[in-house]
Amino acid sequence: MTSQEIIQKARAEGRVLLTETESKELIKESGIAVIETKLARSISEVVAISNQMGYPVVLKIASHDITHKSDAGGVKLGLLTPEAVGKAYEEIFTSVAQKYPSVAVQGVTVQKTARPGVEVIIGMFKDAQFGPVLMFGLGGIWVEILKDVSFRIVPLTKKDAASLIREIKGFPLLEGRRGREAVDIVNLEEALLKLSAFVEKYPEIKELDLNPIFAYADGCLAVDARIILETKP
Amino acid sequence: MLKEKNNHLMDFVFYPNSVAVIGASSDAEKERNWGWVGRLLQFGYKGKIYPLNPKMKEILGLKAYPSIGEVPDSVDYAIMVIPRHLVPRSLEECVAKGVKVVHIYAAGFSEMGTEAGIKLQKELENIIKTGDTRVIGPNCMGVYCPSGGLSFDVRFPKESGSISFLSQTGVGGRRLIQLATGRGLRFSKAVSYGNAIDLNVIDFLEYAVSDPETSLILLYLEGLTDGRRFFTLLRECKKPVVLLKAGLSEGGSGAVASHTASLAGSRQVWEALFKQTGAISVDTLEEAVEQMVALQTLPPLKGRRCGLVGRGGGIGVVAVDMCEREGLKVPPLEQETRNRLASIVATDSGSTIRNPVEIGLGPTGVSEHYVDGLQIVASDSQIDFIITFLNPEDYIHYGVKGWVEDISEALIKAKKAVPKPFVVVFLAAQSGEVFETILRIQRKCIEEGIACFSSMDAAIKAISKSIMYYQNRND
Repeated sequence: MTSQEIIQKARAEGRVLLTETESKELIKESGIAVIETKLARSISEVVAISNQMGYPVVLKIASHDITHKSDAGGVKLGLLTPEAVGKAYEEIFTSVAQKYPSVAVQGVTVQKTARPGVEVIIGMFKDAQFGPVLMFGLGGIWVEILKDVSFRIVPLTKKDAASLIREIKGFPLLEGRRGREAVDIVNLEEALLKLSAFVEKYPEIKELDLNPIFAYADGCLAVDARIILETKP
Repeated sequence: MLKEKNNHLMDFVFYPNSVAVIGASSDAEKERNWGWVGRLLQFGYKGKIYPLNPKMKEILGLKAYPSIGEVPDSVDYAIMVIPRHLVPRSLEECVAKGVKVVHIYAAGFSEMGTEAGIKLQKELENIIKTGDTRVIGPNCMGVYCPSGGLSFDVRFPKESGSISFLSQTGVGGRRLIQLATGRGLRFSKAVSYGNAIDLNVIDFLEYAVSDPETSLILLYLEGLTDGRRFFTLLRECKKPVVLLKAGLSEGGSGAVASHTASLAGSRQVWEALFKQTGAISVDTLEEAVEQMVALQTLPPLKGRRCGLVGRGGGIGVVAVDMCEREGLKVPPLEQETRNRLASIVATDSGSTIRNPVEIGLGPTGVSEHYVDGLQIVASDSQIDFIITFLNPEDYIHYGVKGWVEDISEALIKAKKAVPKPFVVVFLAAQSGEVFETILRIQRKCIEEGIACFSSMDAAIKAISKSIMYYQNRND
């Protein structure tokens, strides 16, 4: 499906929150690397996809109505074998059925476990005065607890992207300290510029999180994505 | 008449060929001292003035008219100083007459937050839709443009400068102009535009950005309608912009679906705007004035390294801490500089030749070593500019005769002799005598183009922000 088709389909179904696979499909168009993620609707499908992707894999519940997947017991990490995948699939459904007995579930998403990198978050929201604004920060607990994030109004210049990354307090972590490898900062700058152009192209998008993006010495990879559409077309 | 050609809408605002004063007072004394007709006359306005008052044949020697419709010629600019309930009817007449721009002074519209006020403002908005007349206001002071002969306050200087000031506030705007002109700054134009039902900050900013008579733009802003246009204009602006954004809120309403939106607030977005556009953020009217003093009286500074010269070790140490906090450096002086200082201070007891330097400023007055010392410190290759601080209170207390003259002379001499940018701070005190003395010396300094600040804190902050501005622009 093209990005426009994904947006129209969600609208037709009365949804503003895109699914994980839809969000990732859209982000791909921006040029930012996104981890391959597929929807599986049965045990046989989930095992077949896992075999094809290669282990370890991650399974996540796919439902339009469940926002906090982990709290629902809807996330299983580091699954090493087809047996583990099958078992995890059943556990996810049991747990979700208990916690959300009445919600519709589309299946589970499958993705390969990404190699570890420095977790960062890139997001977009719309300010009432200035329109789309991008956010950058360290992901995981850094964003949760320390709120170590900073902002730039779209469109970003190269200088904006460079200074945005460098002004967060945790920037030394990206530069590599204490034996850690430095991450590819130029690639992160490019990701910000790509996202800036992308959100300008799609005014239908109201909010967006790429959380986390794994930053590596040789590039970066969006591991999770969430897109919220404007209510009115 | 007043300008080569009136082809820009704003030329009708700042350089109108004719001005109608709707609601000129029948009390001549009142109109002369407090009215717009009086101000236009006092400011030597060169166009036609049409006082409007149905009861009068003549006001301050000018033929008065009962209504705008009776004015024989076209009217570029009308200043409406009538009670708010009369405003809609009068505005209709202006639209019918084809007045180019109307300034509505009256308050009591949407800013009240009352239903009646909002309704009345809506009425004005509907009236201007029926014609080509543009409106400034309501709820505002209007225009100060000395070269155009317009001023909303008779006390403002008649002399022109190169600052353009766009202000949502009226009383605050007037206070700012008084503070700034008292410090020797001069304005090309100022406009207090109030509720901005028509002409708003974007219109004025577009004009200021390309106005050849404007080299520095000052904005006092509360609300904004077209943020994206504002952002783009600021980003493209090649002139320094000092921006006081009042009314910032902390972010994160929480009622949003994304992580990003939950972390964002208007404060963070405005901070982003300042970083992206290079506009200089100030928090108070006073800080805005200090910032403009730095931008208008100092050349772009080449670096952040400061030589401090003044009397009082503790004052110097505190100043060093302030400098460091604001990102300025107070480096040790070179050996050669210290040798040169040592050779001249042998006779001055208590002098120090580190940075801060205490030289030529004894308890009994200023010695000739003061200017020499400033010159030597300024020639140090580790120093980009000089701040000298002076404490008139001591001299007044000890009754040092001729101190004021000596120090004024020394500062004027230093301004010419010191090869690097040179800043003076007068340390204030709570006594009328000290204030008067400071004002006297400061006035002389301003006449000579010397950068004077009212406190160390103000000087250091403003200088640091100026350096940041020029660095950001050249990057």
